[in-house]
Amino acid sequence: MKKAIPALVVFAVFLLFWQYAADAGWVSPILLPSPLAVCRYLFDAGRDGILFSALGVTLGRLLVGYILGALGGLLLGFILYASPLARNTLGLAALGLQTLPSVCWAPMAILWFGQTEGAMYFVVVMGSLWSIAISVETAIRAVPDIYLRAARVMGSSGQHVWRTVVFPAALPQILGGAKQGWAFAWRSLMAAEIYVAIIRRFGIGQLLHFGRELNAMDQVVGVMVVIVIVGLLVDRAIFLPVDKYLRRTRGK
Amino acid sequence: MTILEMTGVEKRFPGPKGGEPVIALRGLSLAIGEGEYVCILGKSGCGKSTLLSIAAGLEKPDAGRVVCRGETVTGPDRHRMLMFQDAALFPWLDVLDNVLYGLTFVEGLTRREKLARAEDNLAMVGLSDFQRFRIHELSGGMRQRAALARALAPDPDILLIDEPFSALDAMTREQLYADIQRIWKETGKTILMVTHNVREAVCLGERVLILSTPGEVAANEPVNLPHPRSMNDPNLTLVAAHISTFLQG
Repeated sequence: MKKAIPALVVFAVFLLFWQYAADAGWVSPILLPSPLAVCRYLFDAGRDGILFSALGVTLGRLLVGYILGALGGLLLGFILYASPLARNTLGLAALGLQTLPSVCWAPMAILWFGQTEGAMYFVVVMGSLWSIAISVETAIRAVPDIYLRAARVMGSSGQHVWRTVVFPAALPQILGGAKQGWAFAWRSLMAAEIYVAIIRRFGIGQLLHFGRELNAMDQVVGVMVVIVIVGLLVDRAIFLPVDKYLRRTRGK
Repeated sequence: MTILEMTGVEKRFPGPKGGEPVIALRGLSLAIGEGEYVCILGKSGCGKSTLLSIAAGLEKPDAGRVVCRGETVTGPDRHRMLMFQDAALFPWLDVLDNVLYGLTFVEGLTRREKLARAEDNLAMVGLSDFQRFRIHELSGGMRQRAALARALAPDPDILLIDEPFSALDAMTREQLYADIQRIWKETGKTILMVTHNVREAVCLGERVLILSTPGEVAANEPVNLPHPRSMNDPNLTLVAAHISTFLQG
């Protein structure tokens, strides 16, 4: 908690200054709304339910897309590890595609899937799959040989070694990859939601997009705040505890 | 009765790019009797670790054969336990679960019997109070004790030990010398241990096999001192000095 106090003070000073700048008319409210205006938007959007229903849609998409991407990445990672042929072909492709900004998948997604949920999932999967696959492969390769030798001496072999040694030994690095994959998935989904319009089910990316079309800067900034908070919350609520657990049990 | 017999064992490794292959073992033969404590002594690079890997079945010899209790060794199994230079305990398990892992493939034991056996072995190495500790919370000496308990728990025919004390400080080492002699007496286990430390070999082994470079048995020296021995025994120093001459020559 001690660490929270300086952060709170700094943010409070920043917001006060911003509010003052807006009130004094230093910047046009069309270009930059005041913090109070943003809060008002968030409050209104929260009260009439738009914000929460959009957030629900977005998080649902993220969950499905990320799970698909993570499972696919895990599988592809194993394949890259096990097959030199796959490593020299698919592995190279994965390395390249990992660097492709995920918004680049959006045009293809629309042409293939139309304006559907499938297009959303496709962009998220493509955004996260490759980096997760590469992390998984690296993680397995980094498992110290001595653990495998110890396990074999004790009579373990085949899938038992995988289940009881390779996987747990590689777990910290795999989780590192999963965390990176999550960041990619989140970015991809925002890109997809801004790019792919689905009229009946809109997520917070679309909310951001509508804000721009309506020239409603309070909405734009408000949604950006929500996006940042979701990212922070997932990191703190899911990845940080896992990290802490691993550090406590393994001392690294 | 002979527990482990190696006859004419050869092992080569591919040399550095295009160079001559490196010979690790050249027609090595040895026999270890039941209940014996034999130390293999050699300079680094003389193929000591390779010898243990082959005895454990982790590596296949290029020529020759390894027979354990009358059966040719074709692969690793829990009847020949290998203890590694760094303990090779699994950091994702606690101490007790590490020992239990060694019992996974022991047939005919209930879950409860396995637990009892793991606890007994941890008690024998003096780690009863550390069962639920994580590996990173143990000192180097405690790690080797835990590894010893893990290797002993499945009741192997022979314990193969690869320089287990080389990374430890002198005081911890002397305590472990005493402990391992006691455990050897208590359990009657057959032990084959590899080391580059002459005094350590003389302190622990009933006989010392000296390995030349590249790996052949150059000498077989019995150590006729009563156990338990202490590193500070002057007689031990005399034997060690005598054996050192083989290594220099």
